[in-house]
Amino acid sequence: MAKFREIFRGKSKYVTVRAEAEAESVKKKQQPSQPPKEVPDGLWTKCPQCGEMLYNKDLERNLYVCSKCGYHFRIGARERLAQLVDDLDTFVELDAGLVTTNPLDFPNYPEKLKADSEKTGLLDAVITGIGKINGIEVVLAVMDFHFMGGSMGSVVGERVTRAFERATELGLPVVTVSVSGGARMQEGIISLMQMEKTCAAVERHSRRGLLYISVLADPCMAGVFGSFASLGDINIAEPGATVGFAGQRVIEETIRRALPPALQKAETVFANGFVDRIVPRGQLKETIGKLLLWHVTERPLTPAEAPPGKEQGDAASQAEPDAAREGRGGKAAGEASGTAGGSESQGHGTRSTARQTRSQAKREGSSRGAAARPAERFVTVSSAGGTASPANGASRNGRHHGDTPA
Amino acid sequence: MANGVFEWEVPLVELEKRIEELRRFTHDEGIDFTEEIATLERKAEKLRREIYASMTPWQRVQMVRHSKRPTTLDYIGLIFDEFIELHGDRTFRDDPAIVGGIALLDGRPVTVVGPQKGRDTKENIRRNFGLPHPEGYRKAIRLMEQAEKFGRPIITLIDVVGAYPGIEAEERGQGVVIAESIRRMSFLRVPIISVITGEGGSGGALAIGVGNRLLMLENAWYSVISPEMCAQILWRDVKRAPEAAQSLRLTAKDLLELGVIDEVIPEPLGGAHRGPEEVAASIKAAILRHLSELDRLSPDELVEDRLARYRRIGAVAQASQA
Ligand SMILES: [Zn+2]
Repeated sequence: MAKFREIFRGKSKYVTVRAEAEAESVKKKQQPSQPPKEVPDGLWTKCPQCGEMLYNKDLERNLYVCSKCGYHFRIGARERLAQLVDDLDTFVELDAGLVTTNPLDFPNYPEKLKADSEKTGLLDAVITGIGKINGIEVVLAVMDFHFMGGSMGSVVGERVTRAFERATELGLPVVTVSVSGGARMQEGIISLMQMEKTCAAVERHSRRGLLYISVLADPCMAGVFGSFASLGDINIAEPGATVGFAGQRVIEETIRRALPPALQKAETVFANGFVDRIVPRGQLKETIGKLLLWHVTERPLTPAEAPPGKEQGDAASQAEPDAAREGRGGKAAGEASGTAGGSESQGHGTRSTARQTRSQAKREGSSRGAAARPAERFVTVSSAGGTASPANGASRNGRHHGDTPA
Repeated sequence: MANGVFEWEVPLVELEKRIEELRRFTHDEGIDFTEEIATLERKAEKLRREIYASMTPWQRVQMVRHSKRPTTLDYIGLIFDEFIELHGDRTFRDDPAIVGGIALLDGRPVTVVGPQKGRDTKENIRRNFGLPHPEGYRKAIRLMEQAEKFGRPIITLIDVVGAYPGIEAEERGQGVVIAESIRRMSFLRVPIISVITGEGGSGGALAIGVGNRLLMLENAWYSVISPEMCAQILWRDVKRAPEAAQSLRLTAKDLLELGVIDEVIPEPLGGAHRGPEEVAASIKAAILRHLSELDRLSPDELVEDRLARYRRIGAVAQASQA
C-alpha cells in the first residue's frame, strides 16, 4: 500500500487531466501488479471449475480465463484496467487520494482497511479515471473485490459519483466494471446513501445524452447491483458471474430451502431480461469499443451509410438464454458467447459505415428496423433480441431497459 | 417478550399491576390505600423515565417490531381526512406488501405510499410480512410519477425490514427495480417527505425514501443492514445483534447527528403503540410544517434541493501526506 499512497499523496481533489506531471502511468506506478487472489503464486493454477492445470503465463495471456472450460477467474481492478484500456500509460486516475473517515467509529474497521490496503495496494475498492478504449476517451470506474469484498462505502460512492460528474462535464461516456458484495456494513447508513448519490449521478450524465456501459463481473450484488450497476444504457455481464440483490444465505433462510443453483447466474439474469448481453472476457474490450464508436461519432451519415438491422436479433444471442435455461453455467455461456464473437468479428468491416450520431442511430433503428443488410454483421444490443423470434426481432427493446419486468 | 411486554419493562409492569390491585382493593374493600398508591405512582413514574430514557438501540429495534405498533394504514387513517387506495403495477400484479393512493391532508390531495405489515398472522401472510416484491416498488414508482403529473406532494411512510429476499423477487429483478426507483424518485418535480415510522431496512427502504425531507419516529431504526444480519456476517453469531445495533448507529438520534435525517418525531414513553393518535398528530404536524417550506420551491428547486441533500452525504478525506 505504501507504494500506491506515496505516488498519489498530496494530490488535489482532481488529478488534472492529461497534465504532464501525471503522464507517468498507473502501470508503472503500481508495478509489480499483484496477481489475482484466485491465482496463487507459482507456475500452475488449477481451474476450480474443470480441474485443468493451467500454466500461469498462459492464464494471464488468456485474460485469466480457463482455456479449457471458459471459467472466468476473478481479477483485480488493475488487471481489468490493463485489459480494457488501450494504454495504461495514458490512463489518468481521478480522486486517488480519497480515504474514508470511519463515520460510525465502527469497531475494527480501520484495521480492516489497513490490512486490505496492504493486501491490494489500493486505498479503497474502486479505481476511477480517464483512459482510452479503441482510441475513444472514456471515464472508467473499475471495482476490486479483494478490497473488503468490493463493498461501497463513502469512498466508492464519492469516486463513482465524481467519475460520472466528470464525464458529464467533459461530455464523455462512462464504463463501469462492478465487482461487489454490496454496500459496506462498516459505514452503515452512510453507505446506503451512496446508492442514491451514484444513481443520481448516472441520471444527470444520462440526461446529457451520454452513454453509460455497465459491466457486471463476479459477483455483483445487493447495494451495487441495486444502484448504479443496474442503470447502464447497456448492461453487460461476464459469463458465470453471480448477479443479484439478496444474498444466497438470506434467501435460503427466508424461504427455508436451497436456492436453485442458477438463480443468480449471469445467464439466468440475462434470460430474465436484466442484462443486454453476456460477453466473455476475451471479447469485452472489442464489444465495448464498438459500442463506444457507435455512440460517440459526430459525423452524421447519409442514409445509405447507416447500418440497417441494428435491432434485429442475431443467432448468437438466441443461443445464450438456452444455455442459462439448461443451467449449464459458465462453461456453456462461454461457448455460446463464443459464437457471438464470431459474428461480432465479422462486424469489423462495417465500422466505417457505423458512424452516425446517437439520435440518428435511434431514428434509423426505429424507422428502418431490419432492412437490407445481413443482420449477423451487427452486434445486437437488446435483451429481448435474445428471446424474441427473428421474425419480430425489429422491436426496440434495448432502449426500454428497466422499464418493464421480465 | 411475553404478552406484549418486553423483559426490560417487567419491573415497571409489575409495579403498575400492584397499583392497580391497591386501587381495586380501595374500591372493593373500602380500605384507604391513597398514600401507598401515590408513593408507588411516583416510583412508577421514575422507573418509567429510567427505563425508556436509557433504551439501548437494540431495545428500540425490538420496540418497533411490537405487534401492536401502528402500521402504515393505521397512520394513514389517523393522519389524513380521507384515503383512496390505488392498486397494481400495471405490469405483473398488485403487491399487498406496499399500499399507496391519494389522500387528503387537511383537504389537500397528496400521494401516500408505504410498505404495509400485517396486523395479525393472517394479514401478515397475505402481505408477506410487509416485505415488497419488485412489483410493489413498481407500483410505488407508478403512483409517485402520477403524483408528479398532477403536481401532488408525495408522502412516504416507511416501515419495512427490507425488500423481499426470495426466488421470484430475484427473477423479477429486485435489484434493478430498486435502482430504478431510487433514480426516478431523485428527480421527481414535486415535494417528497419520507417518514420512517418503524423499520428502515436498507435498499428496500431507500427505494421509497428519497425525499426532500427525511423524518424519523423516536424509536425507529434505519440502516444499511439489520442488526441480526450484520452480527451474522461479521461475527457469525446472531446473538450479538445488540452489539451490532450499537455499532451501526441506526437510531433516530444517531441519524440526526450523522446529518442523514432532518427531524426526530417524539413517541410516548413506552413507544408509539401506547398512543397512536398522539404520534399520528405529531407526524401530521411535522409533515405540514415541512411541506409549507417545500411549497415555496419551484419544481427545479425541489429536484436540486433533493439532490444536494444526498450529494453531501459521505465521509471522505484526502489521504494523509505521511
Ligand atoms: Zn476450467
